[in-house]
Amino acid sequence: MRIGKNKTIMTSDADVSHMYSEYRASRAKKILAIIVLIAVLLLASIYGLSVGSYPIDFIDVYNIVIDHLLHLDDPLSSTDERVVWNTRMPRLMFAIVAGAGLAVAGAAMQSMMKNPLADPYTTGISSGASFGAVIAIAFGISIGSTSAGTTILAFFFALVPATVILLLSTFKKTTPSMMILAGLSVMYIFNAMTQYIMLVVDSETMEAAYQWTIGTLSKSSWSTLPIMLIVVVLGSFAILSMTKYLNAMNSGDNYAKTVGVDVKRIRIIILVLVSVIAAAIVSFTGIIGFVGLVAPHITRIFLGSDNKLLIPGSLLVGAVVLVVCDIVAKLFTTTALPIGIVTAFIGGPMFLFLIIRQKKEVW
Amino acid sequence: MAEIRLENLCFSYDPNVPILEDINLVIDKPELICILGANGAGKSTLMHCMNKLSTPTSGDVYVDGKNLKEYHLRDLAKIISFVPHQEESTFSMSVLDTVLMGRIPHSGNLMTSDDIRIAAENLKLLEMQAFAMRNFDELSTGQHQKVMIARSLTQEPKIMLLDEPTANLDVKYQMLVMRMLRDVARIKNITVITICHDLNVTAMYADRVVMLYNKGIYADGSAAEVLTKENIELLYGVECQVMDIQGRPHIALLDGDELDSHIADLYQSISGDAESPQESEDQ
Repeated sequence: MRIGKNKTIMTSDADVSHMYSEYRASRAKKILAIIVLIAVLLLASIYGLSVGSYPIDFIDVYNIVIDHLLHLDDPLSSTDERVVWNTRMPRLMFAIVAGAGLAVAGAAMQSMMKNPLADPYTTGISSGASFGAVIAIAFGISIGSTSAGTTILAFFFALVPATVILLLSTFKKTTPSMMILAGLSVMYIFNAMTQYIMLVVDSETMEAAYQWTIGTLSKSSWSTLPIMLIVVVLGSFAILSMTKYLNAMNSGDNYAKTVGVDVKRIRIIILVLVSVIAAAIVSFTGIIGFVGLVAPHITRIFLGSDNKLLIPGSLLVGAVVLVVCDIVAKLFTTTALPIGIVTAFIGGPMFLFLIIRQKKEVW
Repeated sequence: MAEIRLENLCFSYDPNVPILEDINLVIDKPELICILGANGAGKSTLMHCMNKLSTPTSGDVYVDGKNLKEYHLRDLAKIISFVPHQEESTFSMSVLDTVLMGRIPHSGNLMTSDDIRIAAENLKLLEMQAFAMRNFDELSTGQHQKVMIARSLTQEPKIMLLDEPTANLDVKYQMLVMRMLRDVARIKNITVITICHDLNVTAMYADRVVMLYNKGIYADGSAAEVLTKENIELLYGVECQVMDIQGRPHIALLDGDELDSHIADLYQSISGDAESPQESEDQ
């Protein structure tokens, strides 16, 4: 259909059909890329289960996992089975869930704030959660015999930076950069308070608290996995249901309003969801940096910036990145190197590479 | 086609400094309406008051007889679309994905085949079909404008608002965009309201011209009625001659005494020297 000289509409469906086919083909390619990512995650996971101080053959791991999934009620008879299922599988699941959750949170924040530097870490949410966890450890705050006190305090303090950002946007017309800067300010305050607490407690408590500040998968267990899993799955689904709003907000608040998006309400919902996801992860693993920042940028290379594909793609890339980092930690170090150190080692150069190859000057 | 009616509309950021005062305007025809005014005259503010991006200090806006205050944003988006001055996206998508954003008020979270067809048809309408799968960032400024207009049309509005769609475009693209807007208004039977700066392009294509001056509407009518020598000289403070070419006014701006006096004041305020640098060199 086009406007001719005589101001009439001339219909020519060939071009429209061609665009439609091209669009469908492009979508199919991207969905194929997501399937490849799932395969990579499965392969990396099985390889990750075979790596460790007690090496187990890749094929044996595969057989153990399949066999146990098919016969869940059967007791674990061999040492290999117990190592794979009781020790390594919870750690792997923690890596997958934490990587996926942080990446989804990062992708949502970057689109919502129109800022490539946004993630739960740079907006202070992770630091808030870590501060809550450190307070619980330092002052022995617990609920019964469980570590629920740590989780609840981490949740509470993770919401503080999000609240500050929201309040700032209520009192003043905030730009996306201002939101990041406000988050960074809160992050510095929380980091200073965390470090002060670590200075005044005894060495044993300090070591336990220190673990939260650098991120570790060593506390992984089947008993604590469900909380993190449920929060990340529900949170990710909720964010997935708002991808069209995120796409519109990426074009600016004014444009988003003119296509019917209640920008203020969506921003509050996304910030709360991201805070809850980040808090659920950080309260069990401590601060794991760079995954939330880098995974969405890697995903954009393959899947583009449409949040309908970016969010599920980031979820998978984040999981792959953290599983691979855990493999690296186990392969190249004899000690149990905290995952946060490995993600920073790998994520830093990776981020530099992304900055260099960027086409558009958004930084 | 929809009617938009502004009644006694006033707007100010600071109560002591009004931007718009007592604006009364009725737009009820599917035509191209150009809003003209000097910088700071309140053109964008007036437009933002029409689609809830700004709230009038007093007065009312009615769309299809219903007060704008009673509209939910999503319902309003089905009637009025908006083309911003420039696209502000940080992470750009493909051209077709960008145009598909226009379906947001109508669709669920996933786009249907119909949504894709409508977006593709509008890209074709603006002769951008060859760029459908290209990244939005890879296009020129003129092509950006065409994509944003296609996105706006994909919203299937009754009223289209455009904030300076011809800014940063060369003369040919300015004419092309304005011609397209006029044709779109006629063919799709929608009201197109745009802010413009180029007087000749406005004169060439506008069905109706609304001129803002001194916080209110100074003139409203056809291009020939509004774009007179007196109005232009008053509005912009420059001398001009207005000729009639093919039944439309053609404006020739003159580097005359009023501009000389303005420039002299400017140089004097900077250096205390009333002579312009060019004049000094000539001597």
